[in-house]
Amino acid sequence: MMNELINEAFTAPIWTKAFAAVVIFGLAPYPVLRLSLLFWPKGHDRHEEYLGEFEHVSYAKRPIWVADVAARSVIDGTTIRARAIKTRMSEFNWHGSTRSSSRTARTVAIGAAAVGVSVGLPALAIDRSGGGTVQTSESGSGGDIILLVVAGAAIGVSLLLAIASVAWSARARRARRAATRTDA
Amino acid sequence: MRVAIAMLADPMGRQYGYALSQTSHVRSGVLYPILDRMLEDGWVTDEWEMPEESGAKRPRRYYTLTDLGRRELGAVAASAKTDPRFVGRLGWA
Repeated sequence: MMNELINEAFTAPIWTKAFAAVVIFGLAPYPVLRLSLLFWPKGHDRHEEYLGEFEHVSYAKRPIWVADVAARSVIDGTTIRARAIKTRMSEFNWHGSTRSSSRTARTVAIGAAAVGVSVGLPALAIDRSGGGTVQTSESGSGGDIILLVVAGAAIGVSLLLAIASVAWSARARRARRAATRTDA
Repeated sequence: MRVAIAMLADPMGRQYGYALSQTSHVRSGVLYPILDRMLEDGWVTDEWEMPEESGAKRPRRYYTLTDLGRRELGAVAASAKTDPRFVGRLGWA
């Protein structure tokens, strides 16, 4: 199903893509704006600013305005998010004796599991359903093996990361308890 | 440069992003990074107008030129007036 949609998106004629863009940006500019704002970190000023401005943009100009904002959000929002993550990583206590390190470990565990499941399960599902695309028997079996390896690796790595992070989190909690006891 | 001229048209007033993009004919994708840089450099200050003040549904962000901003933008605009790249392009005589 997903493969068919992706194939369709890439092989569709240019006028179909243009029509889809007009429909998406023309009929649903507000949802598109909300979606594009997800690129900005939570609580960033730009979030409220764009939503406030949207009200005052004339209906005729909204599609272009939203497309412009969406493009800017993808570039700037992602950059700011990446910078925030980098700062958080540099401030992270790698020896694990604070509450924030334990929280970060838990976030890493959940994130790793989510990535594993979201990459691995669809890959397995596509594999079970026969790949979703027309393949020759030779290329089909090769593709199946690659899909299985990718899915297995994604789930395996994410599970390992999750286990390591939970262990790390537990260690941090023990260290914190020990520190509290020493203080008392 | 267009943004500078639009802001200097009302140097003491407060202006919001969309109005600035309309008067300066600069796309929003270009305008907001410029405003960000001006904020960082202390050329403008920002303030929020709450919905209860304006009657709008959402808060709105306004930008006001600071003394430094007026000076700097004035200097930029003055130098651009003699710059051959801008002569006849920015609505100046």
